[in-house]
Amino acid sequence: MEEHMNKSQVYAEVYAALSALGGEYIRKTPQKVLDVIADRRDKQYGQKFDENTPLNEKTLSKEAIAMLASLKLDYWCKTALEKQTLQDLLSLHDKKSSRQSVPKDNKKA
Amino acid sequence: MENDELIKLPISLTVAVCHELKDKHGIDKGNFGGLRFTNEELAKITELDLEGPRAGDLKDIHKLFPNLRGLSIKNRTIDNEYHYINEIRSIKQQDVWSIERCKNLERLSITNQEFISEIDLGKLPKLFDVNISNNASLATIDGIDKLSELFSLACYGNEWLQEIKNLDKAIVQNKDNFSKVKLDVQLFPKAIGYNHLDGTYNQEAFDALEQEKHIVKWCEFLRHDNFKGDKNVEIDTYNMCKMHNKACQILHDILPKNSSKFDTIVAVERYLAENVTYDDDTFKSRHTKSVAGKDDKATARVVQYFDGANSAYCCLVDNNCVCEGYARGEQYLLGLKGIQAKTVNCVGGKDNLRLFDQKNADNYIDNFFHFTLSSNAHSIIRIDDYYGLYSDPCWNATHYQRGDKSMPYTLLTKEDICKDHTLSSREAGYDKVPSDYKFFPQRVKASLEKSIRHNALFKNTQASDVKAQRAALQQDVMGIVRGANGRTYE
Repeated sequence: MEEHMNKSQVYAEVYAALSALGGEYIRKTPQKVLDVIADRRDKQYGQKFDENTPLNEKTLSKEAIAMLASLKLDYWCKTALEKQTLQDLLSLHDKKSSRQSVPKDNKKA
Repeated sequence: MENDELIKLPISLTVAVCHELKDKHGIDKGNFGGLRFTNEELAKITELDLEGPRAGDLKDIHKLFPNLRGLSIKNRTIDNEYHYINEIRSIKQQDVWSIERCKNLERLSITNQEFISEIDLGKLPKLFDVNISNNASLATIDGIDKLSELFSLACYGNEWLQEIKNLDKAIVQNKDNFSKVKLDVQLFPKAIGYNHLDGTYNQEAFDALEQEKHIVKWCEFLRHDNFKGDKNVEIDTYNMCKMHNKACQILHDILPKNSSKFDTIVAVERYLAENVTYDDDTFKSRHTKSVAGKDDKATARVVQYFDGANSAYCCLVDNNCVCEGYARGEQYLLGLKGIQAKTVNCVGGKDNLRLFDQKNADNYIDNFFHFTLSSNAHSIIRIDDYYGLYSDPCWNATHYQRGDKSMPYTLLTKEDICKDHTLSSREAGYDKVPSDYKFFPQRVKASLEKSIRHNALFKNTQASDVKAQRAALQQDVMGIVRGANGRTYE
């Protein structure tokens, strides 16, 4: 999913993910955040997630996955260790990404 | 400008509101078509009795009916299992979230809704009359222990129900309030707070059930029969305890300490194959079994026992049942060891008529009834906690008792079980008809949940992306609450 997503489409995807996750995840998320996601989602776009669509990195955009990661960090992690593990993983990807981009720039230079 | 304030409701709500306005307030709105209501009229509504609402009908019900005290949602068609998904009427999970925001609700009945997966009763603290039954996909009921004024509780036939937290605590704290309790047989271990790891249970909850034995009933909702109505097995607490004790004794006798899931499943199925015989008499007499004369003491205590041969009770206590009894008996035994399983309806035999071929879709129901009448309506078990594999304890038993002790129908994949069983459309997953409502089955939920828990979903996500999305969300949330929720964002 490389195409650029607008915010309402991202909300539609996160909304679909929350619908699928249900219970525990929804209860841990503040009502105001849920309201924003539900109210500002692109309902038309959301139709593409029917009951047989698996929700994974192939069907969800990277923006929606990033928003799910932020929800996990802010509300869903049960322990500090769990939160730290995810933060470390995300930082590692940042470092990897910057390392990959530096040599290319150097070559050009 | 007045027209701007008129509200149009979905037809199911319109019908219920019109009846309510006419019966209780003498307001006759005339024909239903194109009707609109004022906020004042909607504020008069305290009870809603909805028949066959569709997905999304209850959106914003908490805003529309601020004085709602009683809500009943039902659907007359029971045997949804064999219907295509777009033929089934049901509210969906988003409707349940709206119901959970009706803070003044005192009576709630949700029956036979196919597409709801969970409900948090704790959000409705004023509830005193609750009926959550026969909702095929309902997996979780939360917050029941937060209800302190319950006098009527019914919860049965929710075939996928895996979690009903603190049911034992709810029973203890409401024991002096109860006037009617009807729970599923499979919920008995949860009702007494049974711990599958050490076999202990909540004595106080057990005593409360004993104390209220005249008003507590245990039932198994079996399949709906268009000719004979619901096949409902109902037993009292005495017989429920008898069945539970027998089940515990069986597990004690057949399982070594710390046996693995696999060993437990195989041992349980072997026990059933060795000890439970097929009830041919009941099968030949079109499933109208009477237990009279078989065990007078038990019969006297059984409150209502129509079609009991399909029950876990007949399987475990009488050692004599038909196919569904084997499956339900096994489900109960495995449940006591903390292994989730589900009884699955099917037809014994291969799908030679190609019922699920899209070319036959229009005649699906006719074909299906033709098939069931000419063949064998049957039940097997799907063991969710063991890779979702299937077993057919009934056919295993009949093979075993004829001398073939190989237990050929134990822990088969869906592909293998389908070689000589035709699964219902719900179970087979052939119900992939496009629909405009959203419902995510357990398999989608489980897969997504797992990938979030293990961070597999985030394997290519960068911290900077997360920060950007958090900021975007923050911006929108702050736009609404201006930081009133107290949360700070980086």
